[in-house]
Amino acid sequence: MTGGTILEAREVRKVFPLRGAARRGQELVAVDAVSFALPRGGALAIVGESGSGKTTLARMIVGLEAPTSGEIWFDGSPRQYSRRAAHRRQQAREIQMVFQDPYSSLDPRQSATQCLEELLRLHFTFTAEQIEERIAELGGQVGLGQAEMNAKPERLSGGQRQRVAIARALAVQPQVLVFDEALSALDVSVQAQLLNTLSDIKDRSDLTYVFVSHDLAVVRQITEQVLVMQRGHVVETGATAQVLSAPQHPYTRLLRSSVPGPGWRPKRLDHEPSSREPQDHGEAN
Amino acid sequence: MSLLEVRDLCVWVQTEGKDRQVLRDVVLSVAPGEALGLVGESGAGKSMTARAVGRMLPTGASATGDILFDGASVLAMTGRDLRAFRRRGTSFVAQNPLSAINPVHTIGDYLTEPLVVIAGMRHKAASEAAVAALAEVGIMDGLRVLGQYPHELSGGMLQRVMICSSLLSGSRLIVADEPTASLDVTTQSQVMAILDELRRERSLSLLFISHDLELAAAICDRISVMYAGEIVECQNARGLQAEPRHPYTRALFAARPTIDGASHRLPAIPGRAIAAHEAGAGCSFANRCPYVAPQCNTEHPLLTETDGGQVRCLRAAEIAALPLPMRCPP
Repeated sequence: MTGGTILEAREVRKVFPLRGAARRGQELVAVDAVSFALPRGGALAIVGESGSGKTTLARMIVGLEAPTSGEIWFDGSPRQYSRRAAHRRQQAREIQMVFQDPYSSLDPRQSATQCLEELLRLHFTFTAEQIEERIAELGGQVGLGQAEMNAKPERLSGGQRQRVAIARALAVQPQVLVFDEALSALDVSVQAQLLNTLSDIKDRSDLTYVFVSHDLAVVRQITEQVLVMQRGHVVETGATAQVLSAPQHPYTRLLRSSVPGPGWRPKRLDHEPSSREPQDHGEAN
Repeated sequence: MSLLEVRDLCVWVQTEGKDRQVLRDVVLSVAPGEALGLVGESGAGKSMTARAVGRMLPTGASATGDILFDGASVLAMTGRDLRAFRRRGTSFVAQNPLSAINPVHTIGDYLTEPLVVIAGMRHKAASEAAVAALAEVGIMDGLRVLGQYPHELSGGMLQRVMICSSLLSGSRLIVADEPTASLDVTTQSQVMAILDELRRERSLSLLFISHDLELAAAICDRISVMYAGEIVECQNARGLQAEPRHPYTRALFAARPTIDGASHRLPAIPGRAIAAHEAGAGCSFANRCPYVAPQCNTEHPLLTETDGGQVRCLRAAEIAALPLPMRCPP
């Protein structure tokens, strides 16, 4: 770690108006009063279940959603939510995101090389040789060979596509990378390879990671700090090792005890709400 | 005698005009009241095995070998026998209940239709039976749920409805294909508890398909591990966790991050999993195996009986004596 706060959330809140005749005028508080500070080179996990607000928080960090109130600070200044293209490009170079589904997040008509070339032309004033060098460098960083770099996504496996997505995020030299369940859809052996690649990238730079995940084992492996979210609120926060080995909040304990492992037995709780609303949309006011 | 017995099942499917093999000599058996886990990564052939068991192979597929359900050959069934087998023999709990249940009908229609049409029950009696079965899966306001549509229920609730429908069908074998893959961990724990409890109470057999070794080990008696379209290892669940015998199983356990501690690097399995049709003459795991020997590349290992299980590895006996692959210290 090279010290100094790179990313900070100050009392961030996001409210969505609900749609539909029956719910007109009602609001959904997706994220409420969330604050954290992340040092440069650190790794933060945001964990929780569907409807906890973790993805909304990630989208606000990246700038895909503007907070209703509160601020996201990057490197000492608050993030702005302007529609101006130049400004948005500028902010995109600060924080990048890798999405959950590599089957829908890549353009099916572009190979990794074409995709990276377009990005590099858009963001930098490189010569053709510089672009070529940079593409080769990015391919090496994420462990993709020449053949894979030139293949269309349909010819790639899920793990290879996610490597392309990571290369695309790294191309603009961001200081923060946000992963939204980016390893969840992958097989165990592919996930292990990618986790190692991510540790290698981090070892060689002072990149900062934000990991949105429901997988506590993955979070334990790659992050140092954790926010546990439930229905828009942070219910527990601290060092990942500490929170996962000695969870304090009942919800963290429940999450922890729901993970299968040696000697684990599934538990019947029977407190789940039968209607869909509270689960998938968080807390309705 | 086994309720379900799969013998040397080979399946080819048509892709891009070519016949490609997807299953190679799959062998498994499920005794009455037993739960068998079928574990492996994407493309290993788990779901294709399940589809073959239900006689639901894709169009253009061909199969050799045999699938015996209660002594009768499933692959040879036609007409009336096949319909009876699909109605009462096996029931499926699918990965995505929202796409497995007709969205334009109510839960009540879904649950009572088979009772009315097949068992000849009156509507009122069928509804009462459905409400009683819903209570068993922990849905206490069954009458209200019968009037709801699939989109009004959460994923966990819908999966309970699917389990409920399995119970109502009276089938003796439940085939559950990644039933909790799309659910949150706390919901997964509940759905698995319900499935496990009801199966034991009624001594039903379960074929449980999962990519999650730990989850399968928690609810199954025995586990078969698949790789590249074939079974590479079968053992009782506890034995598999304590002493996995096949190099692939050993590597898979080691590669998984654990909640109890981080390591600087995970012992990842190098390379990628091959598909069944890409397998050569030797062992299908040879190109990624840390214990590979020259004969592994030329000689195809057979699924060999070892005490209380089976393993498909030429060097199984030597490897059993070696320590498990270790994580590097943080």
